[in-house]
Amino acid sequence: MINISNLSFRYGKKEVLTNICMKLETGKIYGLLGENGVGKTTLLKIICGLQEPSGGSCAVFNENPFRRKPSFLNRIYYLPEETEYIQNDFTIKYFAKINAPFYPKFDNIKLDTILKEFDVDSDRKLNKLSYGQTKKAAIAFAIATNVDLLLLDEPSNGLDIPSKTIFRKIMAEYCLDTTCTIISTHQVRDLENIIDPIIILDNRAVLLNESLERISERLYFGIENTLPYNTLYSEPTLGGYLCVSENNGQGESRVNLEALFNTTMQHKSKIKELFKTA
Amino acid sequence: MNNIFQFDRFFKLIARGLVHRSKVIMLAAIGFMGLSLVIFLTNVLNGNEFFSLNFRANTLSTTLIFMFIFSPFIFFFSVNHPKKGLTEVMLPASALEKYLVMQFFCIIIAPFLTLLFYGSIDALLATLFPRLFRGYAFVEIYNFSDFNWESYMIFFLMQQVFMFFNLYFVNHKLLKTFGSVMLLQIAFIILFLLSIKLVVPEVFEGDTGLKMNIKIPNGDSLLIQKGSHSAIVLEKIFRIFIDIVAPIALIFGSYFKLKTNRY
Repeated sequence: MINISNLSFRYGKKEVLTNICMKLETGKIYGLLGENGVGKTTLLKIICGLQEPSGGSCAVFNENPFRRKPSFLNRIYYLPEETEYIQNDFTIKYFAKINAPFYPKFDNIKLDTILKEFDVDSDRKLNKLSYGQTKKAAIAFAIATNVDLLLLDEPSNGLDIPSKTIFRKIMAEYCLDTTCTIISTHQVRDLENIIDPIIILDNRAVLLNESLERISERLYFGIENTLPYNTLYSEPTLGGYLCVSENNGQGESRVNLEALFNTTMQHKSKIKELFKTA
Repeated sequence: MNNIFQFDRFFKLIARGLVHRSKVIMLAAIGFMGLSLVIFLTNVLNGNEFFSLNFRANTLSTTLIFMFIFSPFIFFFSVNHPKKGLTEVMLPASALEKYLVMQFFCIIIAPFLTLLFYGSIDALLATLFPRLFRGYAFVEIYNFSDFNWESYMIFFLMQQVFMFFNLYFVNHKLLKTFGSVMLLQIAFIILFLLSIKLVVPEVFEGDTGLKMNIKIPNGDSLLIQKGSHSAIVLEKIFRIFIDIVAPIALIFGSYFKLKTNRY
């Protein structure tokens, strides 16, 4: 579905992405992780055609996204972090009414269901909603478009704790095998149970693009009383230390995304090596 | 699917545009109707025709010109905003369709709204109270000598300049646009004077500056006749630039900018 090859991007003289390569497939919810300023939003913008790469190529549905053809745009939806784009004088229902006709697979029932789950009244005006409620309305509209590629930039920002749970439930329920979803986030704990595979981005490279299954094959996440000598990453936790080490036959373990992220950041070349040889 | 132009998509976009801009349209309606009513009430309070038909027609033409020229800013101010403009750019329609909708709003809808809301209230009041409102403003403006093809082309050129700069600049649009327009005008005047000095040097004599008055008939054909005076040829070249080259360049420039804008 998405084929990125040697992609580079710069804002003026500032290099944001350099030689990024990755392939993304349908039927998955990708978690795009990275430190501030590594270019996660820029990458999403390139994928949906809002930005043009400075070098390399990005093909989505075998097309150049930057050409922004209608046949491409009706298969993709980009939900930005900020909700200014949606804030206007219309009710949610009316916003959907005037924009839905452009999305051939738009599902009004799905929109109503999601809004009900989020407890947002569709008759309320968008510019009268709080940030969190606007975000929920935007998420509901994005999912109801039923597009093949859904790009969500920090979707859980601004959501309260119950809404984050509902969001996870909705994502698990509505993201079909025929669609691909990319969620860029800092708040890995909010999305821990729904994102798989994990992409960890650095502005110089894609450090990791692996499924949780492969990650747990190669890395072991466990709580130890004392620090083992071969641990890659550790942090104190209740009952000992949360440790990440190479999986040398310890069996499968539950991947802790925050610990995985920190491990990758501290051992960039080691992690790349580990998954290259796997 | 036709990725360049489809009528159903285009009409859907127009319908969406009208709904999306309903607040602006409503404000324009209130403003224009209010203006007409204020003029009427002034006449009522004075008990005679304080504001003449000529004044009402002048107000209508000024409003028409203002709406026509500034319509790109009035209707599409946020179109290229990196955050607010995302709904528009990501909407599944072609750049050509989106662009034609913009032109449709600026060339057709903007003057239509003025005529509809100012002109119709004026006409209604003139029909109901002929003693206070004599004649119809929208009929009177057709008698204005400066409402001719040549002035329409100037207004159109200005509208297209604003359309281009509205798409070109992202922040401080109005300030940058007026600054750019002023610079362009100065550059154009300098170029024009330099061309005259080069082609018709007898116009400038000594240090006293411009002495010769070149009388050029207005509104005639843009075709350059054989054997014409070089000053006439130069004037026609400038008119071809203003009436044809510049609007076409701006139309294509705006379209290209909309198509390739980065957000």
